Amino acid sequence: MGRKLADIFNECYERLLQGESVESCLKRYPKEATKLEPLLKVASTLHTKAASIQARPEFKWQTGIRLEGAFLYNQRQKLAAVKASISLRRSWALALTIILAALIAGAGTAAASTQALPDEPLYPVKLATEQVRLSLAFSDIAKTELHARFAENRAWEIAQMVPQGESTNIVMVTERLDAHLEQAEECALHTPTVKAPEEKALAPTPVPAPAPLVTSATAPQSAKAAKLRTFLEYSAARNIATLEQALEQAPEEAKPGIRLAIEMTKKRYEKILKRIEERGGLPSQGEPQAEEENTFPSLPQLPEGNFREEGRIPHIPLWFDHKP
Amino acid sequence: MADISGVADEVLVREAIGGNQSAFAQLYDKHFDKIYRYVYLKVGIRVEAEDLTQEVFLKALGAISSYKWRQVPFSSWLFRIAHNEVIDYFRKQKKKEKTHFNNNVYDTKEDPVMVAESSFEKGELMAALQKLSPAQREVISLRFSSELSIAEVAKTLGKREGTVKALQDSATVALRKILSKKKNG
Repeated sequence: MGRKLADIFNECYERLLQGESVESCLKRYPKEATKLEPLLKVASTLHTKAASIQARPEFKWQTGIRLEGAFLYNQRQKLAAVKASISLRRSWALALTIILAALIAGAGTAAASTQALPDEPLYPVKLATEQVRLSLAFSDIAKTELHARFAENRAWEIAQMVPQGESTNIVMVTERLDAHLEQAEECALHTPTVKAPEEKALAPTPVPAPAPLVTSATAPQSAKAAKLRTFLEYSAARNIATLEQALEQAPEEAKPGIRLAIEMTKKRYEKILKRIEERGGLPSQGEPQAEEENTFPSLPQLPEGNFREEGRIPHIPLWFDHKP
Repeated sequence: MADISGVADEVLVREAIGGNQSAFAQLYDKHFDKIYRYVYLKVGIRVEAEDLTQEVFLKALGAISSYKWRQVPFSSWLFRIAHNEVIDYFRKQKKKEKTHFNNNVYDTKEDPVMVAESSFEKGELMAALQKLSPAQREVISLRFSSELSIAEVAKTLGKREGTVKALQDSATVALRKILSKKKNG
């Protein structure tokens, strides 16, 4: 069978399906009628025979009912899934919003609270933020430094309150200042010990070379202790300078309290530095050691410029956050 | 619910995917008989053909949201499901397809009246189809019993339209010879 006849046969079969008769189709193609007629009759017969294959009406109806039920079930499932998805997304969105709001508000509030004074609403936030920072500090060295920093904050607050004559709050803040330094001393007691190298008793010493004070294993600890000591010296200098500045501006009735605060602060720093030294921390380079107990060592020179410029506490990076 | 009687498959499918139950019912009415005939000609047992036809529509319902109109007409997609169901059926039954095209394998559960009226017609048709090649048989089943167009058959079988036409012609010539022999013999 040539391709042309195949196409004609196919076209005629389509016409049969549309209701046209075999005879009508043959009249359209008289030249191919002889070959086309038996094929169309076979196709028509097959179609008629196949048409006798019918499903039972009750089966078709039952299947329709079952499909209807399945369709409704699917729709409900989709709807439930969509609802669950929306609910989940809403929950996540709500949770994220709350977290973001808390973070933004918390960070903003905490930042704003750094300048708060005891009689201001944000002061509790300031103290709470300090407590959080302390709780996040794991080493005693870090805790010692933080307590010293917070003691500086209290000194700054005293200096700010003096012109306002907040005598009650000054006493309260002085107690807090002392408490921080007391805790700094306690933490300094637990800083890691840096041992000096042991001398070999029978070792020949024909030419005594200058031995290192610490072994390579203890060097990092020693470096940390030395840094802490340096920081505490500067902290003491800043703290006392602030309090002395406050003393100059303070009214007469407030001066005894501030003098007491200065004395207490000097003694506390002295003890803290002594603890650090006992644990192996080296005194800062060129710094004379305290010769007598309860004598405050001479303070290092403060950095140039007013570190309380514009009433702001200068930002001092936490050195233990930047390990060498 | 919108009146969707007499609309094209494409519209009905879109409506059904969108949750229009009536649209799916229209698709079911439109294609049920063709699918049943196709399956019946394959398995030759009424009860099995009914179960498989029902399964075809349930699977179509479950998968209709993933149906893509551009790739294949809906009828071709439906017949592909039917084809796969039949393949699975024979795989499960561990029977060869040709066994079911034997005249002696007629369903004993057939309604006696129905058997009396149409068994000859069906038996003769199935016996004739049995003598065709699998490809010819597939084309004739889809084209003459299920009334699919050449394009739909081509899409269903994954063949070119020219190939389907050629198979249709060769199958018709072969069937003519088969039926002539029967008539003369």
